Amino acid sequence: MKINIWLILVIGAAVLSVVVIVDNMVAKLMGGFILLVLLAYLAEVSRDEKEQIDKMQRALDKLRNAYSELDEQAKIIIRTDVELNRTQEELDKKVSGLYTLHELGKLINVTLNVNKLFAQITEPLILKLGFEKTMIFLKDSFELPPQCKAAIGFDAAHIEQIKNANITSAFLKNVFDVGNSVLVKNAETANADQKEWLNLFGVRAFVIVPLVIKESVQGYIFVGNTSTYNYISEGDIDSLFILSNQLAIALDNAQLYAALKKSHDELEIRVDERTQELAQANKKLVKLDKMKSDFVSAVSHELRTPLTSIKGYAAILSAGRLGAVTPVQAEKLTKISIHSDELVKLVNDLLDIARIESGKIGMSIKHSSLTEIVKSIADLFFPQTEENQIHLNTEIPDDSMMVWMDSSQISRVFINLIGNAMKFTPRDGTIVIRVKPAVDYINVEISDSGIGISQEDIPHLFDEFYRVENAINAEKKGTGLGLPLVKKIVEAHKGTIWVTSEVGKGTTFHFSLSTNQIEDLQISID
Amino acid sequence: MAIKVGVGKSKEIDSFAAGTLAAKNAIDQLGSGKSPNLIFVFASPRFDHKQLIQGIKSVISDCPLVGCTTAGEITSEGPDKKSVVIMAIESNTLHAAVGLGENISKDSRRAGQEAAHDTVVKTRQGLARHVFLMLSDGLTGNGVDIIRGVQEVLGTSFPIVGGSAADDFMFNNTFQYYDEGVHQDSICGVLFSGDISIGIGARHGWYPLGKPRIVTAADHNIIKKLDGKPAARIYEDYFGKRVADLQHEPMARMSVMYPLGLSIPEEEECIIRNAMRVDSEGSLICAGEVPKGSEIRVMMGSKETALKAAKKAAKIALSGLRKRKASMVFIFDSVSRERLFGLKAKEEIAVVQEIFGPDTPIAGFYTYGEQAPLGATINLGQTFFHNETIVVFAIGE
Repeated sequence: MKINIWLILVIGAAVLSVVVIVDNMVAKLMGGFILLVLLAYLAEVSRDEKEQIDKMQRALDKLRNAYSELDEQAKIIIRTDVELNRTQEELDKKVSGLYTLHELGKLINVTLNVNKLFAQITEPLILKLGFEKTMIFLKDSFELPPQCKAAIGFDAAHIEQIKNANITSAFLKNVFDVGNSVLVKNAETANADQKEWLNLFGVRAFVIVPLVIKESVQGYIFVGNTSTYNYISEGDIDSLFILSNQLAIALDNAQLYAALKKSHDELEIRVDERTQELAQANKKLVKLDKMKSDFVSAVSHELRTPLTSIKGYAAILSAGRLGAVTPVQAEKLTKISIHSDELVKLVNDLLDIARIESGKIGMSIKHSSLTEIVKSIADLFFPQTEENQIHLNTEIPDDSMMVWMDSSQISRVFINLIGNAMKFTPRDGTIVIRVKPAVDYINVEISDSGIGISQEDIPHLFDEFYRVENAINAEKKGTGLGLPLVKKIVEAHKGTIWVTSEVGKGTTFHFSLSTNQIEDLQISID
Repeated sequence: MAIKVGVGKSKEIDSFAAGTLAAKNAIDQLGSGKSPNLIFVFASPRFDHKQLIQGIKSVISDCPLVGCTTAGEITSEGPDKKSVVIMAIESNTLHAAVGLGENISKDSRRAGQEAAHDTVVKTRQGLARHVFLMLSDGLTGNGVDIIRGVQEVLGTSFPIVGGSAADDFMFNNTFQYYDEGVHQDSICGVLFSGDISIGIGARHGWYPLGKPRIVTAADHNIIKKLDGKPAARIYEDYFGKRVADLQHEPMARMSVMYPLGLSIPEEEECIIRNAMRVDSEGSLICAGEVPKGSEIRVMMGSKETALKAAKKAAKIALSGLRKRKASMVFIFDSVSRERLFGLKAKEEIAVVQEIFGPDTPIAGFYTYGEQAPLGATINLGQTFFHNETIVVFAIGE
């Protein structure tokens, strides 16, 4: 098209020069006509051209608009992406924070030492929570200001500087009074107090959350970041509150444990002291007891000789060898004889106990038949049971029950226990002797259907001179030495003796004797 | 095996102890009686750096040492924080010469030249030079100019890889380790030569969004105007925030997720530029140079595409080894990627490990900028300064 225009212009110029130069009217008219035609053609061409340009312009505008729209869409995409990334970042931080807190929780829950507790708050842990610096402050007592208990991300000099700074701030008071957290996102939005903190701790942003122990604020956790990238958001406060709660519970536990341990230790010391005192007292008692036994032994010996004389003379007198005896005198003499017998028995029992205690008694332990003893004892008591109409039964296995014992001493045990049973069993009552074999032992039971023994009395039954207060005892005399002697004998055989009883129903004495060989004279001397 | 590599790590609180333990750990893997020819140290900025280096030197005394501080350390185990990672290399086929260039904030180009020159002088004549590995301060100087300086010594198309030292996103100071010294505002480099093969892959996986804008005014790493308007307007447009707010809002946080893409003719991916700050005039201060007249678009990333990019970078690096087995792999991974992946950062490292096999030792760190050639390594493409990119660098024998 452009060539055409140039061609037309050249032709036009040529025609024009012909029109100017040539002096011929016809030629001039012809030239003028050609020029007119050319001009008309030129106008037509330029109109086409313009249309074309307009069309292209419109297409270009359309393209521009599309591009701008695309750019607008890009803006939307980016803004959405910004939001998405921020959320994702928060979420990442939260997830790793929660995981870290969970791990920490497991650690500090089993830590009961306050110092070790703070040692669990380590740098990797704080970093995982998304912070670079941390300090934990805690009051040692209610009146004192909080002390720095843990510092992470600070060098030693900086820690000293902060410790010496004597921090007092209005917003810190708010933390303690109300239990609020404080978030300072940057220096621009910080107040004068907070700016001071930013400088002191050398951070660009920080959070403070209170440490609430037993419903009162006793300290606070400070975390801060120096890097511009690690911004601190409201979401961080949540995880820090979890941390502070965990720490507070663990601290409370540790404090409780410390208090408990202290009182426990004090108690232990006191128990030790008392035990020592008791041991000493016991030593004294043992000594006294020995002295008593020796005394009793000596006195009994001294008593026995004159008693024998008294009995002898009484017998001589009552036999009438020294002259006739009036019935009244005879009666008195019989009393002297009976009382002397009682005294002799008392003295003998006392002597036996004293001997067993002091180890002076000689026992000859042999492998003997318990069956035999039981039979002979039953025979021995037969007249008495007949007289009092008491049934004395024996339940004893057919086999011969062999145990290691001093037969004469064990006979005394039976005589004492059955004698007691007779004493407390009413007419038509029953006394049963049972012999039951067990592993390494043979158990013997002597049961009666007597008045029984109250629970208060049972623990004292084997005490020397102890006598249960009841109607029968008030009437019938006793020394209170029978059961103690029985116990000493059974224990000298490495056996045990105990009582079960129910008031109004009866009493059972149990004792066991060893089927294994025991050495002679295995008698404990304390 | 002619190349032996050990990677050790420690998270000890005490700096000296951490250095000692990590070094012992690395040395133990070399086998008995072996002493390394070169060690790399990638350490968290939390350490007392002098103590740390002394701790390492107490175990490995006479061996060149290069390294820097990081925003996270990388080993086969995955990413970690607050640790020190040491890679010890022992070989009779791999030759490594180390160099240092200082005061990059004064003259970045010159510092690059010095470091490169240092290594060239120390490299025996006739050895085949393969690659220059650089670790430079990520907060000072001009990263692109450092590369130019190195290229002026070693050749424009000579492969350069590396990462810019970081400081755990605090943007205060980074440190470079060179033998016993702890430096700032410096670049240390290693020239690898000998009978080895190398593979380098660099990918990011971010994709462009919206319409392109032309840089109409720029000064090195400062984009002043886009389409004749203050450059920060682009973020204002897309994020709906006022420039004044952007000045307060840590810009790095925003541009980590939505950086600027610089299209390079014939390349599959745009080069990424992170805007670190906004100044009062609404200019964007970037981590890396942006020439006037460039076409710029806002970029967006997702975990999936970024993970695919990591896999691709590893594959490209592996193919560069030309069937040789990888003796070691370095990962220079942008700190932004660690942020993008969040809890899944471990997966990115695992993807690289998977490509090279479970026995290949890996060491690396999260950087404030990455250096790697564009295009396939076989073509020995020219090295560029990247952001938001994972650079996988493998040495094989």
